[in-house]
Amino acid sequence: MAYAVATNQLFGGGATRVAVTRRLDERERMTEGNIKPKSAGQTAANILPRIAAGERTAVQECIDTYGGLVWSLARKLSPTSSEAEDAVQEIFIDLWKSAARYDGARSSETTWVAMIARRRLIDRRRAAQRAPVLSEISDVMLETIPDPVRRYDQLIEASGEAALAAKAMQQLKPTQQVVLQMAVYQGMTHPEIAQATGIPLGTVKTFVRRGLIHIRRALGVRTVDAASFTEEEVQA
Amino acid sequence: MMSNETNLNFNEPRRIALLLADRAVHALPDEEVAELTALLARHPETDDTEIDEAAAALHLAKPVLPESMPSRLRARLFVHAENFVFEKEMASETMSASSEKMAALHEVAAEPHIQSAALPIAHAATSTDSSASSRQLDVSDSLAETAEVLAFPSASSKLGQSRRTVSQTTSSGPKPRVDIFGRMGWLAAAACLAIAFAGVRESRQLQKQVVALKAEKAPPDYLALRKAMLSQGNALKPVDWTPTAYPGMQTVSGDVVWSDAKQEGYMRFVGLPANDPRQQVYQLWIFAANQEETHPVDGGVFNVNANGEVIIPITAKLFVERPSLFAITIEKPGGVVVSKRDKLALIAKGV
Repeated sequence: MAYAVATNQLFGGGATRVAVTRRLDERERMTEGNIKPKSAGQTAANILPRIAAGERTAVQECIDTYGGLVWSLARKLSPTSSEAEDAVQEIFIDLWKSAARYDGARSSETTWVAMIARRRLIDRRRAAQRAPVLSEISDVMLETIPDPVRRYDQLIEASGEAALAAKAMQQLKPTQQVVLQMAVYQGMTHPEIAQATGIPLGTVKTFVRRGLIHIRRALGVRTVDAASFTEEEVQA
Repeated sequence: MMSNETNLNFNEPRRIALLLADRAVHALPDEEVAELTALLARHPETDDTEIDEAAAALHLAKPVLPESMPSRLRARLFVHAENFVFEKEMASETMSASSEKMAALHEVAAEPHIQSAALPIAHAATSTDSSASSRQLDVSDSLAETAEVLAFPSASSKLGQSRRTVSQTTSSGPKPRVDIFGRMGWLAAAACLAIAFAGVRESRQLQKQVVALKAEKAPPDYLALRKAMLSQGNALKPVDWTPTAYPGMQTVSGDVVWSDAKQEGYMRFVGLPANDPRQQVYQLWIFAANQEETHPVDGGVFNVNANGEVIIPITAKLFVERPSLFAITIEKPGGVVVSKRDKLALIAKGV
């Protein structure tokens, strides 16, 4: 089996340290050395505040800037292209309506957009009760026009969180990376990952939960320490 | 996934973190949604979006080829964008119309000779031609009613009552001019403009939709993109495909090229047999120096429905560094997470 693992390597020492979930303010971030590259995020499009302020052109600019990103996410996490299109429509309406809730001091606009998109896609998936299929490249070759304003890769560069997340991901063991990849990129549930890989369900839960908490800490926000969870807690 | 919280008796913030981590990757069952809602209510200091943001940031860390949305979807979105802007502006106008209307009514109510709202145009109110003033009152009434319905429907009965009072006052002779219509008339004007504006907006929406649909362009020219990448000198040299003994592959030729710097690449095939996507698909695997051999990077699935030369862009699921081998397998529809490698079609050794 490709993903056979040594279970005793995967669990933390069962430390009992408890940390209250809270957000760090900027001074604490700098003091602790977890400096979030806010300048990178804040040089991005800054479209959502303008939508919240009622600027007409910003709404359309939002489509031009984030259309590719949202479409890529929808394609990955939707079972069909037509459902992906419906999802994209709902996501943009969510974005416009929630534009006032975006706080540029805590995350880049790109990350916020991706978060809103993922939430909607996860909710839609639950409603559809279907698993996403991998996108077919042949479909991508049809009926598209290039994004007029920003390339996807430029948006990712502007999202400082993505670089931090990538670095944090590299700190995880390869098997955990693969499991986290299946959960985040492909939207697979814990049982689906366990079935696909042969990894025990409890281990899959541990990998995903601890992995995400680890990445959240890497983004500079203090939360419960991933290593402090007992095996019993994480697999519940 | 049912919570055994009472049995396990662990710290609530920790349980919140676990539930949020689950929610960030898949929808929670109803009972866990309820549990999380209750926990967050007891812990309002918790920010329930942070782990969602972590998942989003991680998703963004995955290098992918830019993927433009279909033009028909873009057209749909622009229509919805227009609707959103229109509704927001109308809501804004309604609110400001309401506040100005109330201010106007308060001013009228303060006038010594007028108990409440609308009078006709100022010069008609002082005219001795009672029929003319009556007609003008009718006109101003209808416009004011329209303004009410569009701007502040709940006040229509109040305004009607005020208008009756005023008409009685008008008929008794010249009265001090109170330019109520000057205050209320803007509502009527706004109403007329709003109606006209709605028509213009609808027309504009349709025009934009037509323009967007007409602006459909050809799909990306991957052959040209591949040539451009090769000419820039920052990619590996193309490595040729070697057919395996799998039936139908012996006459297949072509190559694969990959750029570490760009994290993109292209596969070229000549003579690759067409597949029935309902039965099976082709899937690319990339063996890279930064990944364990037992975990090749999934390069994506693709279909081939025509003979001749085919160019397929590579969509690697993870970061690829110094690929040593590319392999094409034949898998079930949708592809697989882990290949059994029992239907290995083509391989290409990297540099």
